Amino acid sequence: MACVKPNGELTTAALEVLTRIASPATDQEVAEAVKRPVHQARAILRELIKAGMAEHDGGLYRATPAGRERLRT
Amino acid sequence: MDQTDSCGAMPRMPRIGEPAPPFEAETTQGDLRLEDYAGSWLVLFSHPADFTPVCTTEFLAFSKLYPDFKENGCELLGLSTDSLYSHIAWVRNIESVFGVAITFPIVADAGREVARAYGMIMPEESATEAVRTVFVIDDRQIVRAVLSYPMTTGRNVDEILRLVQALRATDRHGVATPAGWLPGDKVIVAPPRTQEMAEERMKAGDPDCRDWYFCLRTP
Repeated sequence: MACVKPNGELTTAALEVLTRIASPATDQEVAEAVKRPVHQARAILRELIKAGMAEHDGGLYRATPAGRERLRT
Repeated sequence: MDQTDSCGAMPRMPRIGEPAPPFEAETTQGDLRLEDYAGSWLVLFSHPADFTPVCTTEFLAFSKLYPDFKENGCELLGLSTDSLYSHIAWVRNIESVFGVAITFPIVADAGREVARAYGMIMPEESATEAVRTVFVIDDRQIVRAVLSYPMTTGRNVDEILRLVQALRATDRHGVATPAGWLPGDKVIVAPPRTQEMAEERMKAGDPDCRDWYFCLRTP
């Protein structure tokens, strides 16, 4: 998974995205916040969902409890 | 999407106006899907192999114009049948040798799934490597233009940018663009569909109308 390093840590980009979705945001809003193209933001969001750290509902992405926990560590 | 020919054997190249074949692929920037580009234009281009001189010159040219593509709402996505590690090593080599960072992703299509879906493998040229194809895909993920170049001949990236700009001008203004059109140039107005409209156009005496079927205007 590209947003998780081999040692289990999140990449800088994934951390930035996860931080942004601590409060719900669209993919466009995430891309603007992390200053990356929308396609990259979408790919990272998809991987965070696969990792159980994000969820998607009604066009909005938000961090799950597991994602919030990761931000605290 | 079925991209096979009538014999069901050889994949065929998607045609202008068709939906671009969906894909999910490993890239130098993580796994990407075609749908990740929805809402943006995309130039998907293949090259035969990393660490080859013609391809390197093309990547330098694409990289130079990447900001211009982005200004035109268009992303770049390279592809070859090399491995991900080859791509990473090549991109690092380009940066160290030429001082140019390749900041757009490159698909590592070692299994040739994407190359086959897009008809990028042309066996008469190479059985294993992709030729130099370019697919301009619009924000609705429709193929809008297709180019194919042989392995020996590097592409003109200015022309690919011009093509994107011309297609976007067509969409914005409902016009066609003449040979060699560049942003700011006059565009071609659609010809009249009836004799009456042709007569009216000629009577109007517009100096930009050379004849009833040939009229230009500022977009």
